[in-house]
Amino acid sequence: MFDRSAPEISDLVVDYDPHTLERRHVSKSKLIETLRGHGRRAALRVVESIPARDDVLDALAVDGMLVRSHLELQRLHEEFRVGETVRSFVAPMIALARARTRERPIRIVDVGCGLGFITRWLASRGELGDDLEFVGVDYNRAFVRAATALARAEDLPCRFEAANAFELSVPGHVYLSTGVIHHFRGEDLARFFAQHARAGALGFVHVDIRPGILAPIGSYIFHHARMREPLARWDGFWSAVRAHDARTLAAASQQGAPGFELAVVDAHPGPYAVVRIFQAIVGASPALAGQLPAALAPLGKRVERVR
Amino acid sequence: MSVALLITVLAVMDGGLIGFRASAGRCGLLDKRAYYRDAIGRGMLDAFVLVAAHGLPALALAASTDDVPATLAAYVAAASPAAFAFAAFAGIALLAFVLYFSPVGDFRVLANVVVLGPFTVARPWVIAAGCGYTAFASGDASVACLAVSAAVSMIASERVFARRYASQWRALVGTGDER
Repeated sequence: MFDRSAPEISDLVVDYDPHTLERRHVSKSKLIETLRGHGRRAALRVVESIPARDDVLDALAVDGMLVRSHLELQRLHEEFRVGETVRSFVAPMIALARARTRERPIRIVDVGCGLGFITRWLASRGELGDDLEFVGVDYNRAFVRAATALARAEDLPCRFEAANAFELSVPGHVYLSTGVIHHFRGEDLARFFAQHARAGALGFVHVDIRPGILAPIGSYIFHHARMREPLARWDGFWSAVRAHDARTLAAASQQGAPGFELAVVDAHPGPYAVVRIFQAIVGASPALAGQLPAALAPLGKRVERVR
Repeated sequence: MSVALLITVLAVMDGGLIGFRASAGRCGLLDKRAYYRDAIGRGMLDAFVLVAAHGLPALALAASTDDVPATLAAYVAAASPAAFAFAAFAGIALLAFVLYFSPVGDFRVLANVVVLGPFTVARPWVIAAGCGYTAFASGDASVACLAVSAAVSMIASERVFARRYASQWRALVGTGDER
Protein backbone atom coordinates (compact mmCIF):
# COMPACT_ATOMS: atom_id res chain seq x y z
CA MET A 1 0.00 0.00 0.00
CA PHE A 2 2.80 2.43 0.94
CA ASP A 3 6.36 2.63 -0.33
CA ARG A 4 8.07 2.07 3.02
CA SER A 5 11.53 2.42 1.55
CA ALA A 6 10.99 6.00 0.37
CA PRO A 7 12.85 8.54 2.52
CA GLU A 8 11.36 11.19 4.78
CA ILE A 9 11.94 14.84 3.98
CA SER A 10 14.14 15.33 7.03
CA ASP A 11 16.45 12.60 5.74
CA LEU A 12 17.02 14.55 2.55
CA VAL A 13 17.16 18.25 3.41
CA VAL A 14 20.38 17.93 5.41
CA ASP A 15 23.58 16.11 4.57
CA TYR A 16 26.78 15.72 6.55
CA ASP A 17 30.23 14.36 5.90
CA PRO A 18 30.22 11.21 8.05
CA HIS A 19 33.83 11.76 9.14
CA THR A 20 34.17 15.51 9.66
CA LEU A 21 30.45 16.15 10.27
CA GLU A 22 30.79 19.20 8.05
CA ARG A 23 27.50 20.17 6.54
CA ARG A 24 27.27 19.56 2.83
CA HIS A 25 25.27 21.56 0.34
CA VAL A 26 21.96 20.02 -0.65
CA SER A 27 20.85 20.52 -4.23
CA LYS A 28 17.21 21.52 -4.40
CA SER A 29 16.74 20.25 -7.93
CA LYS A 30 18.23 16.84 -7.11
CA LEU A 31 16.05 16.64 -4.02
CA ILE A 32 12.96 17.41 -6.06
CA GLU A 33 14.01 14.79 -8.59
CA THR A 34 14.39 12.20 -5.81
CA LEU A 35 10.97 12.92 -4.34
CA ARG A 36 9.38 12.95 -7.79
CA GLY A 37 10.95 9.53 -8.38
CA HIS A 38 9.14 8.25 -5.30
CA GLY A 39 5.90 9.92 -6.38
CA ARG A 40 5.64 12.01 -3.23
CA ARG A 41 3.80 15.10 -4.37
CA ALA A 42 2.97 16.52 -0.92
CA ALA A 43 6.62 16.21 0.06
CA LEU A 44 7.54 17.96 -3.18
CA ARG A 45 5.44 20.95 -2.18
CA VAL A 46 7.24 21.14 1.17
CA VAL A 47 10.65 21.06 -0.48
CA GLU A 48 9.64 23.53 -3.19
CA SER A 49 8.79 26.03 -0.45
CA ILE A 50 12.33 25.97 0.96
CA PRO A 51 14.39 28.93 -0.26
CA ALA A 52 17.55 28.15 -2.19
CA ARG A 53 20.42 30.09 -3.70
CA ASP A 54 22.19 28.75 -6.80
CA ASP A 55 20.19 25.52 -6.34
CA VAL A 56 21.56 25.05 -2.79
CA LEU A 57 18.97 24.82 0.00
CA ASP A 58 19.20 27.69 2.48
CA ALA A 59 20.67 25.99 5.58
CA LEU A 60 19.13 28.49 7.99
CA ALA A 61 15.66 28.01 6.49
CA VAL A 62 16.10 24.24 6.72
CA ASP A 63 17.20 24.49 10.34
CA GLY A 64 14.22 26.68 11.14
CA MET A 65 11.91 24.14 9.58
CA LEU A 66 13.53 21.29 11.50
CA VAL A 67 13.49 23.14 14.83
CA ARG A 68 9.81 24.09 14.39
CA SER A 69 9.02 20.48 13.55
CA HIS A 70 10.87 19.19 16.59
CA LEU A 71 9.12 21.68 18.87
CA GLU A 72 5.84 20.23 17.65
CA LEU A 73 7.21 16.72 18.02
CA GLN A 74 8.11 17.52 21.63
CA ARG A 75 4.52 18.57 22.25
CA LEU A 76 3.32 15.23 20.87
CA HIS A 77 5.86 13.37 23.00
CA GLU A 78 4.66 15.23 26.06
CA GLU A 79 1.06 14.29 25.32
CA PHE A 80 1.96 10.66 24.78
CA ARG A 81 4.19 10.51 27.87
CA VAL A 82 7.20 9.39 25.89
CA GLY A 83 9.55 10.58 28.63
CA GLU A 84 7.91 8.24 31.13
CA THR A 85 7.96 5.40 28.58
CA VAL A 86 11.67 5.83 27.85
CA ARG A 87 12.46 6.10 31.54
CA SER A 88 10.69 2.81 32.29
CA PHE A 89 12.70 1.08 29.55
CA VAL A 90 16.08 2.64 30.30
CA ALA A 91 15.99 2.37 34.11
CA PRO A 92 16.70 -1.40 34.12
CA MET A 93 19.63 -0.89 31.76
CA ILE A 94 21.07 1.85 33.98
CA ALA A 95 20.77 -0.47 36.97
CA LEU A 96 22.68 -3.17 35.09
CA ALA A 97 25.40 -0.75 34.04
CA ARG A 98 25.70 0.58 37.58
CA ALA A 99 26.20 -2.93 38.92
CA ARG A 100 28.68 -3.88 36.21
CA THR A 101 31.10 -0.95 36.27
CA ARG A 102 32.72 1.15 38.97
CA GLU A 103 33.11 4.04 36.57
CA ARG A 104 31.12 7.08 37.53
CA PRO A 105 29.17 8.82 36.27
CA ILE A 106 27.22 6.29 34.25
CA ARG A 107 26.96 8.00 30.89
CA ILE A 108 23.65 7.86 29.04
CA VAL A 109 24.01 8.90 25.42
CA ASP A 110 20.88 9.94 23.51
CA VAL A 111 21.58 9.24 19.83
CA GLY A 112 20.00 11.67 17.37
CA CYS A 113 18.63 13.72 20.24
CA GLY A 114 17.17 16.57 18.19
CA LEU A 115 16.11 19.27 20.65
CA GLY A 116 17.09 16.91 23.45
CA PHE A 117 13.63 16.56 24.92
CA ILE A 118 14.23 13.03 26.22
CA THR A 119 17.73 13.88 27.49
CA ARG A 120 16.44 16.96 29.27
CA TRP A 121 13.37 15.17 30.58
CA LEU A 122 15.42 12.34 32.06
CA ALA A 123 17.98 14.78 33.47
CA SER A 124 15.27 16.87 35.06
CA ARG A 125 14.05 13.91 37.11
CA GLY A 126 16.17 12.67 39.93
CA GLU A 127 14.60 9.20 40.17
CA LEU A 128 17.23 7.50 38.03
CA GLY A 129 20.03 8.46 40.43
CA ASP A 130 22.56 11.24 40.85
CA ASP A 131 25.49 9.25 39.48
CA LEU A 132 24.39 9.71 35.88
CA GLU A 133 25.57 11.92 33.07
CA PHE A 134 23.13 12.64 30.27
CA VAL A 135 24.60 13.49 26.89
CA GLY A 136 22.51 14.28 23.85
CA VAL A 137 24.22 13.86 20.51
CA ASP A 138 23.14 14.97 17.08
CA TYR A 139 24.83 15.70 13.77
CA ASN A 140 22.88 18.90 13.38
CA ARG A 141 24.61 21.76 15.17
CA ALA A 142 21.43 23.82 15.11
CA PHE A 143 19.71 21.16 17.20
CA VAL A 144 22.66 20.98 19.57
CA ARG A 145 22.68 24.73 20.11
CA ALA A 146 18.92 24.82 20.64
CA ALA A 147 19.01 21.87 23.04
CA THR A 148 21.87 23.47 24.96
CA ALA A 149 19.98 26.75 25.23
CA LEU A 150 16.84 24.97 26.45
CA ALA A 151 18.80 22.98 29.03
CA ARG A 152 20.53 26.13 30.27
CA ALA A 153 17.24 27.99 30.54
CA GLU A 154 16.03 25.40 33.03
CA ASP A 155 19.40 24.70 34.61
CA LEU A 156 19.29 21.01 33.72
CA PRO A 157 22.22 18.66 34.39
CA CYS A 158 22.83 17.47 30.82
CA ARG A 159 24.89 18.48 27.83
CA PHE A 160 24.74 18.23 24.08
CA GLU A 161 27.34 17.57 21.41
CA ALA A 162 27.46 17.70 17.65
CA ALA A 163 29.18 14.40 17.01
CA ASN A 164 28.91 10.82 15.95
CA ALA A 165 27.36 9.30 19.07
CA PHE A 166 29.51 6.21 18.76
CA GLU A 167 32.80 8.09 18.43
CA LEU A 168 32.66 10.29 21.51
CA SER A 169 35.96 11.04 23.23
CA VAL A 170 34.42 9.61 26.39
CA PRO A 171 32.05 6.86 25.24
CA GLY A 172 28.67 6.12 26.75
CA HIS A 173 27.72 3.22 28.96
CA VAL A 174 24.12 3.12 27.76
CA TYR A 175 22.90 4.33 24.37
CA LEU A 176 19.32 5.28 23.77
CA SER A 177 17.27 6.83 21.02
CA THR A 178 13.67 7.80 20.45
CA GLY A 179 12.07 7.80 17.03
CA VAL A 180 15.41 7.43 15.28
CA ILE A 181 15.89 3.83 14.17
CA HIS A 182 13.26 3.83 11.45
CA HIS A 183 15.51 6.26 9.58
CA PHE A 184 17.99 3.39 9.10
CA ARG A 185 17.04 0.83 6.47
CA GLY A 186 18.53 -2.48 5.41
CA GLU A 187 22.25 -2.84 6.00
CA ASP A 188 22.39 0.61 7.59
CA LEU A 189 20.21 -0.69 10.41
CA ALA A 190 22.57 -3.57 11.14
CA ARG A 191 25.52 -1.16 10.94
CA PHE A 192 23.77 1.08 13.46
CA PHE A 193 23.61 -1.77 15.97
CA ALA A 194 27.17 -2.83 15.16
CA GLN A 195 28.42 0.53 16.39
CA HIS A 196 27.30 -0.23 19.95
CA ALA A 197 29.75 -3.07 20.27
CA ARG A 198 32.56 -1.00 18.76
CA ALA A 199 31.84 1.89 21.15
CA GLY A 200 32.03 -0.44 24.15
CA ALA A 201 28.41 0.09 25.17
CA LEU A 202 27.10 -1.93 28.07
CA GLY A 203 23.63 -1.68 26.72
CA PHE A 204 21.16 0.08 24.46
CA VAL A 205 17.51 1.03 24.48
CA HIS A 206 16.05 2.19 21.18
CA VAL A 207 12.46 3.31 21.28
CA ASP A 208 10.37 3.88 18.19
CA ILE A 209 6.79 3.86 17.07
CA ARG A 210 5.36 0.37 16.69
CA PRO A 211 4.08 -0.41 13.19
CA GLY A 212 0.61 -1.80 12.64
CA ILE A 213 -2.63 -1.30 10.80
CA LEU A 214 -3.77 1.50 13.11
CA ALA A 215 -0.41 3.27 13.39
CA PRO A 216 -0.60 5.22 10.10
CA ILE A 217 -4.24 6.21 10.72
CA GLY A 218 -3.58 7.37 14.26
CA SER A 219 -0.41 9.08 13.17
CA TYR A 220 -2.23 10.91 10.38
CA ILE A 221 -4.95 12.15 12.76
CA PHE A 222 -2.50 13.32 15.40
CA HIS A 223 -0.02 14.94 13.09
CA HIS A 224 -2.86 16.87 11.46
CA ALA A 225 -4.56 17.70 14.74
CA ARG A 226 -1.43 18.78 16.55
CA MET A 227 1.10 19.97 14.03
CA ARG A 228 1.22 22.96 11.75
CA GLU A 229 4.59 22.50 10.08
CA PRO A 230 4.11 20.68 6.75
CA LEU A 231 7.40 18.81 7.18
CA ALA A 232 6.35 17.61 10.64
CA ARG A 233 2.98 16.44 9.37
CA TRP A 234 4.50 14.62 6.44
CA ASP A 235 7.42 12.98 8.20
CA GLY A 236 5.35 12.19 11.27
CA PHE A 237 2.87 10.21 9.22
CA TRP A 238 5.57 8.43 7.23
CA SER A 239 7.48 7.57 10.40
CA ALA A 240 4.55 5.39 11.40
CA VAL A 241 4.48 3.80 7.96
CA ARG A 242 8.23 3.21 7.88
CA ALA A 243 8.60 1.97 11.46
CA HIS A 244 10.34 -1.40 11.73
CA ASP A 245 8.55 -4.37 13.20
CA ALA A 246 10.14 -6.16 16.14
CA ARG A 247 11.35 -9.03 13.97
CA THR A 248 13.29 -6.67 11.69
CA LEU A 249 14.83 -4.89 14.66
CA ALA A 250 15.78 -8.16 16.31
CA ALA A 251 17.33 -9.54 13.12
CA ALA A 252 19.32 -6.36 12.52
CA SER A 253 20.50 -6.31 16.16
CA GLN A 254 21.58 -9.93 15.98
CA GLN A 255 23.43 -9.26 12.76
CA GLY A 256 25.06 -6.02 13.92
CA ALA A 257 25.67 -6.77 17.58
CA PRO A 258 25.77 -10.57 17.70
CA GLY A 259 27.10 -10.85 21.24
CA PHE A 260 24.35 -8.75 22.79
CA GLU A 261 21.48 -10.29 24.69
CA LEU A 262 18.28 -8.83 23.27
CA ALA A 263 14.68 -8.22 24.19
CA VAL A 264 11.80 -6.26 22.73
CA VAL A 265 9.30 -4.37 24.87
CA ASP A 266 5.68 -3.64 23.90
CA ALA A 267 6.07 -5.29 20.50
CA HIS A 268 2.79 -7.15 21.08
CA PRO A 269 0.83 -5.18 23.68
CA GLY A 270 -2.52 -6.84 22.93
CA PRO A 271 -5.43 -4.73 24.19
CA TYR A 272 -2.99 -2.01 25.24
CA ALA A 273 -2.04 -1.37 21.61
CA VAL A 274 -4.13 1.81 21.52
CA VAL A 275 -2.26 3.43 24.41
CA ARG A 276 1.20 1.91 24.09
CA ILE A 277 2.16 3.14 20.67
CA PHE A 278 5.91 2.73 21.11
CA GLN A 279 8.06 -0.34 21.26
CA ALA A 280 11.69 -0.75 22.19
CA ILE A 281 14.58 -2.99 21.37
CA VAL A 282 16.83 -3.45 24.36
CA GLY A 283 20.29 -4.96 24.26
CA ALA A 284 22.79 -5.92 26.94
CA SER A 285 26.45 -6.45 26.11
CA PRO A 286 28.19 -9.80 26.65
CA ALA A 287 29.63 -8.32 29.85
CA LEU A 288 26.11 -8.46 31.27
CA ALA A 289 25.44 -11.99 30.08
CA GLY A 290 22.25 -13.51 31.44
CA GLN A 291 21.25 -10.48 33.49
CA LEU A 292 18.82 -8.83 31.10
CA PRO A 293 15.69 -10.92 31.84
CA ALA A 294 15.87 -10.23 35.56
CA ALA A 295 16.52 -6.55 34.96
CA LEU A 296 13.48 -6.23 32.72
CA ALA A 297 11.28 -8.35 35.00
CA PRO A 298 9.44 -5.28 36.42
CA LEU A 299 8.03 -4.70 32.93
CA GLY A 300 6.37 -8.12 33.13
CA LYS A 301 4.71 -9.52 30.03
CA ARG A 302 5.58 -6.46 28.02
CA VAL A 303 9.01 -7.98 27.49
CA GLU A 304 9.82 -10.67 24.93
CA ARG A 305 13.28 -12.17 24.79
CA VAL A 306 14.93 -12.39 21.39
CA ARG A 307 16.61 -15.72 20.84
CA MET B 1 -31.08 33.62 28.77
CA SER B 2 -29.79 30.27 29.92
CA VAL B 3 -28.95 29.38 26.31
CA ALA B 4 -27.03 32.65 25.89
CA LEU B 5 -25.16 31.91 29.11
CA LEU B 6 -24.45 28.36 27.98
CA ILE B 7 -23.07 29.59 24.65
CA THR B 8 -20.91 32.15 26.45
CA VAL B 9 -19.50 29.56 28.85
CA LEU B 10 -18.83 27.09 26.02
CA ALA B 11 -17.19 29.74 23.85
CA VAL B 12 -14.95 30.94 26.68
CA MET B 13 -14.00 27.35 27.48
CA ASP B 14 -13.28 26.74 23.82
CA GLY B 15 -11.22 29.93 23.81
CA GLY B 16 -9.09 28.56 26.63
CA LEU B 17 -8.44 25.40 24.67
CA ILE B 18 -7.71 27.44 21.55
CA GLY B 19 -5.17 29.41 23.55
CA PHE B 20 -3.57 26.19 24.73
CA ARG B 21 -3.41 24.67 21.25
CA ALA B 22 -2.16 27.90 19.70
CA SER B 23 0.77 28.01 22.11
CA ALA B 24 1.49 24.27 22.15
CA GLY B 25 4.38 22.98 20.10
CA ARG B 26 6.07 26.39 20.13
CA CYS B 27 7.99 26.28 23.40
CA GLY B 28 10.75 23.78 24.03
CA LEU B 29 10.99 24.21 27.80
CA LEU B 30 9.96 21.30 30.00
CA ASP B 31 8.09 23.38 32.58
CA LYS B 32 5.45 25.27 30.64
CA ARG B 33 2.86 25.77 33.37
CA ALA B 34 3.09 29.57 33.43
CA TYR B 35 3.33 29.70 29.64
CA TYR B 36 0.18 27.64 29.19
CA ARG B 37 -1.67 29.48 31.95
CA ASP B 38 -1.01 32.73 30.15
CA ALA B 39 -2.04 31.29 26.76
CA ILE B 40 -5.26 29.79 28.14
CA GLY B 41 -6.16 33.04 29.91
CA ARG B 42 -5.59 35.07 26.76
CA GLY B 43 -7.66 32.61 24.72
CA MET B 44 -10.56 32.82 27.17
CA LEU B 45 -10.47 36.60 27.15
CA ASP B 46 -10.36 36.72 23.37
CA ALA B 47 -13.27 34.29 23.13
CA PHE B 48 -15.28 36.44 25.53
CA VAL B 49 -14.64 39.46 23.33
CA LEU B 50 -15.82 37.46 20.31
CA VAL B 51 -18.99 36.43 22.14
CA ALA B 52 -19.66 40.04 23.06
CA ALA B 53 -18.97 41.14 19.50
CA HIS B 54 -21.72 38.84 18.29
CA GLY B 55 -24.08 38.94 21.27
CA LEU B 56 -24.41 42.72 21.43
CA PRO B 57 -25.44 43.10 17.76
CA ALA B 58 -27.94 40.28 18.28
CA LEU B 59 -29.42 42.16 21.23
CA ALA B 60 -29.47 45.37 19.21
CA LEU B 61 -31.27 43.58 16.39
CA ALA B 62 -33.84 42.23 18.82
CA ALA B 63 -34.28 45.66 20.40
CA SER B 64 -35.05 47.17 17.01
CA THR B 65 -38.09 44.92 16.53
CA ASP B 66 -41.66 45.62 17.69
CA ASP B 67 -41.90 42.57 19.94
CA VAL B 68 -38.56 42.25 21.72
CA PRO B 69 -39.44 39.25 23.98
CA ALA B 70 -40.83 37.28 21.02
CA THR B 71 -37.74 38.02 18.91
CA LEU B 72 -35.40 36.97 21.69
CA ALA B 73 -37.41 33.79 22.19
CA ALA B 74 -37.08 33.06 18.47
CA TYR B 75 -33.30 33.60 18.65
CA VAL B 76 -33.06 31.27 21.63
CA ALA B 77 -35.16 28.63 19.87
CA ALA B 78 -32.91 28.83 16.80
CA ALA B 79 -29.70 28.64 18.84
CA SER B 80 -30.79 25.97 21.32
CA PRO B 81 -30.09 22.82 19.26
CA ALA B 82 -26.58 24.05 18.42
CA ALA B 83 -25.91 25.07 22.01
CA PHE B 84 -26.92 21.67 23.32
CA ALA B 85 -24.89 19.91 20.63
CA PHE B 86 -21.86 22.03 21.57
CA ALA B 87 -22.50 21.24 25.24
CA ALA B 88 -22.54 17.50 24.54
CA PHE B 89 -19.30 17.83 22.57
CA ALA B 90 -17.70 19.83 25.37
CA GLY B 91 -19.02 17.39 27.97
CA ILE B 92 -17.27 14.46 26.31
CA ALA B 93 -14.09 16.53 26.03
CA LEU B 94 -14.31 17.40 29.75
CA LEU B 95 -14.70 13.73 30.63
CA ALA B 96 -11.62 13.03 28.55
CA PHE B 97 -9.76 15.68 30.55
CA VAL B 98 -10.67 13.86 33.75
CA LEU B 99 -8.98 10.78 32.25
CA TYR B 100 -6.11 12.90 30.96
CA PHE B 101 -5.29 14.26 34.39
CA SER B 102 -5.73 10.95 36.15
CA PRO B 103 -2.59 9.44 37.68
CA VAL B 104 -2.76 6.41 35.36
CA GLY B 105 -0.48 7.10 32.41
CA ASP B 106 -2.28 4.78 30.01
CA PHE B 107 -5.57 6.64 30.68
CA ARG B 108 -3.92 9.89 29.71
CA VAL B 109 -2.86 8.46 26.37
CA LEU B 110 -6.28 6.85 25.93
CA ALA B 111 -8.00 10.21 26.42
CA ASN B 112 -5.74 11.64 23.75
CA VAL B 113 -6.16 8.87 21.24
CA VAL B 114 -9.88 8.33 21.57
CA VAL B 115 -11.21 11.81 22.29
CA LEU B 116 -8.90 14.82 22.41
CA GLY B 117 -7.02 14.24 19.14
CA PRO B 118 -10.05 13.31 17.01
CA PHE B 119 -12.16 16.05 18.63
CA THR B 120 -9.58 18.66 17.64
CA VAL B 121 -10.01 17.52 14.04
CA ALA B 122 -13.81 17.43 14.36
CA ARG B 123 -14.18 20.78 16.17
CA PRO B 124 -14.40 23.09 13.09
CA TRP B 125 -17.01 20.80 11.52
CA VAL B 126 -19.08 20.73 14.70
CA ILE B 127 -19.00 24.53 14.97
CA ALA B 128 -19.86 24.92 11.28
CA ALA B 129 -22.74 22.46 11.55
CA GLY B 130 -24.15 24.04 14.73
CA CYS B 131 -23.94 27.62 13.55
CA GLY B 132 -25.11 26.61 10.07
CA TYR B 133 -28.20 25.03 11.57
CA THR B 134 -28.85 28.14 13.67
CA ALA B 135 -28.46 30.38 10.62
CA PHE B 136 -30.91 28.22 8.69
CA ALA B 137 -33.39 27.77 11.54
CA SER B 138 -33.54 31.45 12.50
CA GLY B 139 -35.25 32.44 9.26
CA ASP B 140 -33.78 35.90 9.74
CA ALA B 141 -31.05 37.14 7.43
CA SER B 142 -29.38 39.30 10.08
CA VAL B 143 -29.28 36.50 12.63
CA ALA B 144 -28.04 34.10 9.95
CA CYS B 145 -25.20 36.51 9.18
CA LEU B 146 -24.30 36.72 12.88
CA ALA B 147 -24.34 32.91 13.21
CA VAL B 148 -22.08 32.50 10.19
CA SER B 149 -19.79 35.25 11.47
CA ALA B 150 -19.61 33.56 14.89
CA ALA B 151 -18.66 30.26 13.25
CA VAL B 152 -16.00 31.85 11.07
CA SER B 153 -14.60 33.79 14.06
CA MET B 154 -14.34 30.74 16.30
CA ILE B 155 -12.84 28.55 13.57
CA ALA B 156 -10.39 31.20 12.37
CA SER B 157 -9.43 32.38 15.84
CA GLU B 158 -7.05 29.46 16.40
CA ARG B 159 -4.93 30.48 13.43
CA VAL B 160 -5.03 34.11 14.48
CA PHE B 161 -4.09 33.33 18.09
CA ALA B 162 -1.32 31.03 16.89
CA ARG B 163 0.43 34.00 15.28
CA ARG B 164 1.35 35.25 18.74
CA TYR B 165 3.59 32.24 19.19
CA ALA B 166 4.66 31.63 15.62
CA SER B 167 8.07 33.30 15.86
CA GLN B 168 9.27 31.85 19.14
CA TRP B 169 11.39 29.25 17.36
CA ARG B 170 13.67 32.04 16.11
CA ALA B 171 15.18 32.36 19.58
CA LEU B 172 16.47 28.80 19.23
CA VAL B 173 17.98 29.01 15.76
CA GLY B 174 21.38 30.55 15.20
CA THR B 175 22.48 33.11 12.73
CA GLY B 176 23.81 30.62 10.24
CA ASP B 177 27.37 30.03 11.36
CA GLU B 178 26.56 26.32 11.65
CA ARG B 179 26.27 26.10 7.89
